[in-house]
Amino acid sequence: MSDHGGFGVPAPLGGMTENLNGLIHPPVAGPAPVQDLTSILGDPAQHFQLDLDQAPQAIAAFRQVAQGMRDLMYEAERLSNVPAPALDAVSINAAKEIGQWAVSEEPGALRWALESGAVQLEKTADALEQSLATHRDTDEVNAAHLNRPQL
Amino acid sequence: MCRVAVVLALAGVLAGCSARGAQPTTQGTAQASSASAPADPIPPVREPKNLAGASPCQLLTPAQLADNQMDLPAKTKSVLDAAGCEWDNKAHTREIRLYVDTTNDVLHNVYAQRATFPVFEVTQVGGHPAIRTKNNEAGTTCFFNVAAAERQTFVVGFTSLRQGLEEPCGPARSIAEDVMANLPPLKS
Repeated sequence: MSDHGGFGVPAPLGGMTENLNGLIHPPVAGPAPVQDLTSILGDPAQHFQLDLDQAPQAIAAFRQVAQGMRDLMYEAERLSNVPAPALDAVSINAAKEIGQWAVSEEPGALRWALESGAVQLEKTADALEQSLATHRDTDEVNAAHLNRPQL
Repeated sequence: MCRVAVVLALAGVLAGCSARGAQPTTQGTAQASSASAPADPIPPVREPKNLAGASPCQLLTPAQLADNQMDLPAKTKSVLDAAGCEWDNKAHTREIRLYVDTTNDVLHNVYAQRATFPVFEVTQVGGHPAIRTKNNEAGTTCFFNVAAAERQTFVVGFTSLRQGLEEPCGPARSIAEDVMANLPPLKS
């Protein structure tokens, strides 16, 4: 018997059934419940530490994930072209529902969410790059100041 | 029986009304001239071009890529089952993607989903029928779906990076026009 339970055992919370339900239920209209990443990073009340030596890798990672989200956005765009696999009503309706879910303009819908996510990640990478540049400039100014001969 | 028929007819009328509700404005869309047969909103392709067998990464010339500030090597990138290509630049200011669909009637499929696009416009690219879309009204990516021939469509996407300082639909249209100009005529 596996650790995930067998037949007849109720699915645990957060299990496959719940995840599948989350996937197949259409998104709910309204503002996205999560705070956007840029506002978290730009909020002076939020504190996080980033090793300056690791900053370039962090920026590259944000950009890579943003690109991955754009890959998915193009796939979601193309899902709107999914033709029904057969002419029965269930197949036609399923294709229509997949297309609607993939391309709906509502917050939380797949295509909208993927573009918004990619934009937020790019903005975050831009902000980190800017911070890094400012920090380096400040360091250089301080170093120049310290190296200036004292009168 | 008669009552059932009346109810069904009424339901049909209501369904027709709701299906037509809340659609975005489409510039260049053919207007129905009479109440009888609505005109096809997607005009036919007049001078078909051949996309079949084309390698997406070869659809823009080095000079056109240089004009668009693309200075990194092209990357083959299929979109689900459709062959595609991606171009980027070192400054990370712009991203161009293109994929080719030689199976589906893409323009009619996209038109059928028009109510789900915050920005949707039936237009023309190089004299060919096209649809411009955006996922978010203030989004940084703009798409042009262009019919080269019947069931031969290419989709160009342009993303403006660096916090979206550049409006993406102008460059996307220009790139789509470049691609169309590079395609050979379709021989019947």
